[in-house]
Order: sequence, then C-alpha cells, then structure tokens
Amino acid sequence: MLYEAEEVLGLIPQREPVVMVSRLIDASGNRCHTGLSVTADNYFIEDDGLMAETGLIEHIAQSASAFAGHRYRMQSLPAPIGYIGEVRKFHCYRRPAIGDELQTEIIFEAEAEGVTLMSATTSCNGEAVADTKMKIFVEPVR
Amino acid sequence: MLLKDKFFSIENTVISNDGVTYQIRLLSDCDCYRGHFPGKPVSPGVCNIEMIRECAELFTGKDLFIEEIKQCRLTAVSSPAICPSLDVAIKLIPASDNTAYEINASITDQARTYMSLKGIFRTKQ
Repeated sequence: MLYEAEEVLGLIPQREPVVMVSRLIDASGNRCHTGLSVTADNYFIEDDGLMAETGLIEHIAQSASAFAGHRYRMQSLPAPIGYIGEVRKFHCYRRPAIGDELQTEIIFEAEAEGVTLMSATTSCNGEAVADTKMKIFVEPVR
Repeated sequence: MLLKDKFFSIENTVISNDGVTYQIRLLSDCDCYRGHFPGKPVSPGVCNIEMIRECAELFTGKDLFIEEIKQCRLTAVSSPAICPSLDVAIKLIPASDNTAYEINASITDQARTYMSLKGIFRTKQ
C-alpha cells in the first residue's frame, strides 16, 4: 500500500464531499492500482442504495489523478489539476453497492503536451464492474 | 434523483419530434463545489453526464441505467459563474426491443458547447 485515507488527499485536488478514491495500492511504470471503499455517505449513492454509474467514472478519473499526483510527488512537484476531456467506450456492468471494495487498474497509454490517454478497468472481488478509456487534460501548476 | 434541484433546476422544457431540450439553471450552492475544487468551483464533468441521464429519465418517465458511453466529449469548463443557464438537448432512439435508448445529447449555451454524448441508456428492471 502506497497511500491510504487522508494521505490520498495529498495526491488529488478534489475534497469532500466528492472524494472518490480511498487508496493508491501500487504504481509502477505506466500502470497503477487504486481502491474505493463504497460507504453509505458516498456522494453518488442513489435512493436504492447503489452507486450511480457516473460515480464510477469519477472514481476512475480521480484514480488517474492520484496516479499522476504520485508521479509528480516523486519529482517533488505539487499535484496538478486534471480535467476529463473525453470518455470513450465506457461500459458499466453493474452498479456498486454499499460495502463493496472496488479495485481499479489504470494504464497511461500515451502522454504528450498536457494530454494523457488512459484505459481503466474497475472490478469487485474479481468481477468486472466497469471499463473505459479517457482523455485527461492536465493543467500545469503555476 | 441525485442532482435535480441540487446541482441543477429545470426552467423550461421544449419537446421536439425526436427528443427534448431542457433549459436548466446550474445551482451555485450545490455542495459538490466545496470539494471540486476548494476555492475554485468548477462543475464536475460527471455531474453534467448525470444531469443528461436525469433529464432523459424525466422525459421518458423511466429509470435509466448508463450501460455504455460510446463517446462523451467535454469541450469547455462549466460552472454556475461561467454558464448559469444551459440547454440540455437529448435525442432518443428506442431500441427494437424497447428496453433501451440510443442517446445523443449535448449541453450548450449561446457561447459554446460544453458536452456532447453518445451512449446507450437501458431501462432499469
């Protein structure tokens, strides 16, 4: 485990009530694994007790943000702000429930000129929950 | 609904042959801006996607599951300060078995396009 709970907040610009990543589990090269513990007070929990699909997209985006923040920290630079530029080929197979422990693999497939192309797969107990590709715009820290 | 009357409110509804346009207002006191981002309120892109889903649900009268987003482009930063009034335009094509819709949606104002989305929203069981 690299970062958990409060430590993750050092890697991302988001704050409560919209924090959607609980931990950065490991990171090497262009790949990392993150986790989200789905709690009852999660911002994206709907009336039926399940998380909205859009919560998964935010979790994936913040996972990428935490990975980028970790890499900047390794170079002693502050975490940049990233904006989602494009979501492609997003599939949701089921909506997460309260108590689920989500695990997400992020792969940065290409990076250039402040644009990162990435792919992500989110699972729970080995079962696929969602996958997507995303383009992230990274705003340089001034 | 997660965001209706919290992140946005509906001011007007214009129904067309193949869909609907909701004229909405972004609500600056939504709690998402406390964390996105502190001191720099920017509408989360995923909240704009969620707003499209909720507008599609209102129009169809059905609970809809975002099964697939083929492509969603986020082409400009939105916030209650930048674009307090927006048009959420949605075109829906029912699938042959009537359990899903092919969705084409956009979020615009007179100045620019903030989002365009193509996807499949399925009726929840």
